[in-house]
Amino acid sequence: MTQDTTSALITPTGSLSEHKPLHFPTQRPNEHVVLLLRRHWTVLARDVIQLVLSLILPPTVLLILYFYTNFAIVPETPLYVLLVMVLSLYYLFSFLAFFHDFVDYHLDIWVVTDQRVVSIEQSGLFNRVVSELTILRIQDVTSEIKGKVQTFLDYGQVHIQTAGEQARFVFEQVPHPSEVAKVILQAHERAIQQDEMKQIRQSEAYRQEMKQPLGTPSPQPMPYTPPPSNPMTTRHIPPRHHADGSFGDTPPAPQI
Amino acid sequence: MSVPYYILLILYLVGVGVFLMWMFFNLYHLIKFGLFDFTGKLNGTIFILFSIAVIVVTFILLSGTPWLDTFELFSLPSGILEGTKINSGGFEL
Repeated sequence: MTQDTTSALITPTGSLSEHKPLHFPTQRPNEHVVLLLRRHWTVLARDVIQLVLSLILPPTVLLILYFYTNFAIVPETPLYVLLVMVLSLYYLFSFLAFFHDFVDYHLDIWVVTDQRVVSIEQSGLFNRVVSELTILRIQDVTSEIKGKVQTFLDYGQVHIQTAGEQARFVFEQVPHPSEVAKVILQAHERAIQQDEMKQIRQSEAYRQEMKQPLGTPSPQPMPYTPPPSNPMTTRHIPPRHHADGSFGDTPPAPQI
Repeated sequence: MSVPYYILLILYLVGVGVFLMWMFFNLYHLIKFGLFDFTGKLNGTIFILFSIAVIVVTFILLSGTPWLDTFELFSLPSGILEGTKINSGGFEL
């Protein structure tokens, strides 16, 4: 089974279909994304509500002061200049705070591929943790939904337990946690099947190699030819004369 | 204690400088490390447009301020109720 078919088989459907596979930073060339998850939208909704409240607050306060006190801002007063500047900075930094939270939300991703599980967590601007785990090492996957809000909106945590004493991988506040857990297990099983197929293929190839008949002609060894001797460096040794009158390098056989 | 108006402008510009620096870091992270998809692009664009709008409106509202004039720092609280006007008749150096 090819990898393309595998990734197509474990493409999430139904309520997880909005998490369609994408590309992500540090993706390997032959790696297929099965799931790409962010926190649930309610996390960002809180920031949006905060932003709206902070935008509404100054005009509300000014209106209350205007209607219930003697407060009045005359356009050409020092107070007017100061107020315009302070409000301008207030609005800029309120929106910057929201944008900062959005970047934090947007950069926190969890990716399940056909090879590994990657967790990219950004805390602040200069603190980034990227951890990954081979999908074959997964032992069990637990989904957890806590409280009324999470139950009502169907989001929660997914815990991935690996072999050994490593800390659990936790997907925090992800939508549809039970389906995410199912997809991770499916990807894990698919990876195991692929691994087994690979091992079988390797052992078959080895067996085929060993099954080759012994009588098959092996390539002829090249005859040995000594290197040409250099007359300038080769020392001439004269043949030895033995006691029995013979001569040569080998001594005569002992007479019994 | 007399304070020239341009001191307020300098303080404001320092604040805008800090804002721009943080904005740059945020946008850089969004483009470099994130998946710069539709949501990222939309939020980035809205943020930039909003920031430009706020700065432009501020400069329009403050365009008539005589920056070289001075005001009494300790008269600011009383000016809240009285509405003391800026002496914009000319630059008093």
